[in-house]
Amino acid sequence: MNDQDIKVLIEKISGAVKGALGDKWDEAKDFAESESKKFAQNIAEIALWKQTGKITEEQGQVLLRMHQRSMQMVLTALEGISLVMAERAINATIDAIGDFVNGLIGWKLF
Amino acid sequence: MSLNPSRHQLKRSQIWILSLLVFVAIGCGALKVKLVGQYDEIVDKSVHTIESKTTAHFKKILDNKGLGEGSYEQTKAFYAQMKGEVEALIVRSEVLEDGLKRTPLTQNFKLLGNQYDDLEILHQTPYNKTTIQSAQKAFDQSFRAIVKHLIFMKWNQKQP
Repeated sequence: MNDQDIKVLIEKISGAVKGALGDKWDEAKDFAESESKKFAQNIAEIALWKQTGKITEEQGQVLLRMHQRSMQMVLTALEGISLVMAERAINATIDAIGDFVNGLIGWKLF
Repeated sequence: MSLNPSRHQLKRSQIWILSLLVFVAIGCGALKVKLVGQYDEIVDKSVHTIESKTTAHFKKILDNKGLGEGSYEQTKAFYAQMKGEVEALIVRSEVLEDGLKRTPLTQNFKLLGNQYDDLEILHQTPYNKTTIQSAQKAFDQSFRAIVKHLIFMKWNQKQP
């Protein structure tokens, strides 16, 4: 394998990853940002209500737990989404390398 | 220190054979990676059902200002029912994510169960429209998280 082959391989891998993920990175990023903003707003509201006596101490604690938990669920979902994208990217890369290896060897393995 | 030529040659040939096997395995797609569980339509539909029932429950509480049909006493069966349905989701997602290092779907269903525990506690406190609406926002965010994850899992399944 020479330098040119390596350059081609890198280009194939980059292309495979980009093709596999498309706009999904942006979609995940937008989701993360939007949910983070909502979480911040919700927490700020609870703090204000507690301060102004609009809600009881117990209600404030329960709500805080619920919102912290829902944000934890967002982060956990993002972990799952990252794993989905990593799986797609890795397998697309393996496919790209496989085709290239077939080309280098000069015959199809499968 | 003298080098045993035959041992050295054997080691080199073993390395070559191993490298060739790796290339062969890559070439035939035998090294595909599996990091996530399979998308499951039953899970997706169950989440939708649970979400719809939860939205209806919040509406009942708010419409009745926590009294009568919207009171905890008259709706406590809802909590047991939801926890049962979430438990079924946990069991199913554990199967789907079995053997995987990370199990985010299962983790989120467990957290969803905890949300119902806290909503039940909140429902037993004196009625307050503000707290119920805020709790609904927490549930909305919880469901958005799960649904978004499922959408990506479905997308992953559809791709060649």
